[in-house]
Amino acid sequence: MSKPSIVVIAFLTALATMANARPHAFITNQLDNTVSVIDTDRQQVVDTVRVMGKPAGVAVNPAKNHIYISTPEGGGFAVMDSGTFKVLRTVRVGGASLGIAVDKAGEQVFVADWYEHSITVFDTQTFAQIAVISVGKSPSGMTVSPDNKWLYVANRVDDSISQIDLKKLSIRNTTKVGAHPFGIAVDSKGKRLYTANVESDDVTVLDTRRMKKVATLKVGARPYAVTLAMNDSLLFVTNQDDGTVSAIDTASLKTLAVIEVGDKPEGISTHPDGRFVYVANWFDNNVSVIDAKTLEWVYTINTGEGSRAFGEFISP
Amino acid sequence: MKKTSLLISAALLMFTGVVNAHGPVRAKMTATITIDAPAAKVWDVIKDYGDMSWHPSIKSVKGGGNDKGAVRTLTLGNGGTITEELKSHDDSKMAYKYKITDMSSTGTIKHAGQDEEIPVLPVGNYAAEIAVEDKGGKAEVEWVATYYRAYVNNNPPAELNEEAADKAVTAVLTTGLEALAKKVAPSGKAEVKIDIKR
Repeated sequence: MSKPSIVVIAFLTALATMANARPHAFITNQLDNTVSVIDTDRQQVVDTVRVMGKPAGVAVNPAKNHIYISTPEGGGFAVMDSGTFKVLRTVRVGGASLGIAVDKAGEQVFVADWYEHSITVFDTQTFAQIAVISVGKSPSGMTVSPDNKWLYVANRVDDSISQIDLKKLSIRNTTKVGAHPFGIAVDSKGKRLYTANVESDDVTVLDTRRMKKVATLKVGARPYAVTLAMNDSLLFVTNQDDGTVSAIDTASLKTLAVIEVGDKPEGISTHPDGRFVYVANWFDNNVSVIDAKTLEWVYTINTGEGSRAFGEFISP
Repeated sequence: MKKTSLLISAALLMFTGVVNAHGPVRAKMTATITIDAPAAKVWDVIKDYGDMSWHPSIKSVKGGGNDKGAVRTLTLGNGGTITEELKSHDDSKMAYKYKITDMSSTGTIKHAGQDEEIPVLPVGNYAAEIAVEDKGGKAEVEWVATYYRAYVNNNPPAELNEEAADKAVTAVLTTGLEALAKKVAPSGKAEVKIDIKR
């Protein structure tokens, strides 16, 4: 091989690596058994990866360059390389894996088992099972506190949130919230936890210090998930049956806007820039991008059938 | 002989587990028919939310109106009722969207120690959109319904499981579109295509 070709190849590889080093949104298309990878700089799908088993949940592990995709009908979850988007392996978990989350150090991945009412903890190096923690009925959404001390789990059928001590891997507290909490989020100071309650059409705001209810906020019909943006000053909530996203000011807890997106909006996540919010529209098979500064949608990106993206799905 | 039967039972057990995974899952059923008539003519027949006379399974309708939030109550041949709320109506798109807000029940069954009502349409959280599109001079009607099975816990009884839901919704959409086609193009041989995704 001649010298110039090697240089060209090296250059192109470097470019590709740089491109793949940008934030990407990983959208699970549950009805298609694929994952759409969106380059958030170009606002385009750059790859569509086959993942069997009705992919639903997403978690990002920057420390290991992994993306974890839960497959509720695939008996576990898939591990994807965040640079090449190739599926590296699958990990077996019993029951039905839906919610999936990673600790802040990227060392442990947590998988919520809908049927076994437990959280299975795996090591992200070897994918050996470390522990199984019994929680409430039908654990769904999960999130880890910024200081890596707590794992919060929404027990959908129990209408409660479990707070798990990550050092002891045991439950410290379980608190009742609204009806059927699903997607949850904690702020960047670890102080407030927000839960989307599907059956009561509201959001519960908890003070994490004592897991006490601060407020209950009315939103639209059948809220699915929540995300914070603009330095935690705004909370966005997907209202599945209204085809809208509620934008709430977290200081006053007042709804500032109800933004029209696609049909059956579900997964929602904020870009690392804190400004752009991505919403997966299950029925419309696309993603709506909202500018949190203007509270308007700015892009629509076509993905696959049954776009769900349940979890924190944008890589840094 | 013993080993083989054990293997088969194990395989069946695994299969059941996979099929029942994850709690009730939302289904999306798309019913399509192409009618040999102008799209505007077909839209004319179905465009009034309060008029379901084109659907043979619906005996009468109370309420209606084409404004967002309008409510209609359908009375079926068997006396059962379904109440639906209009989510959007667009004349220019020749489409409207609605959702079921209430249903009467056809009876009760006992399951897992509880009395379970059987709704007249064995589904939960049902929403639908009906739309007409011009396809080269012909009318393509697409009726899409999203719904869950009626029983929200695991291990549903046969009357309230996914199969029962799919069967019932298929009947509603197929009967309706076939009748619509026959009404607008009586000599036509249009067939309904059903696609279910879950």
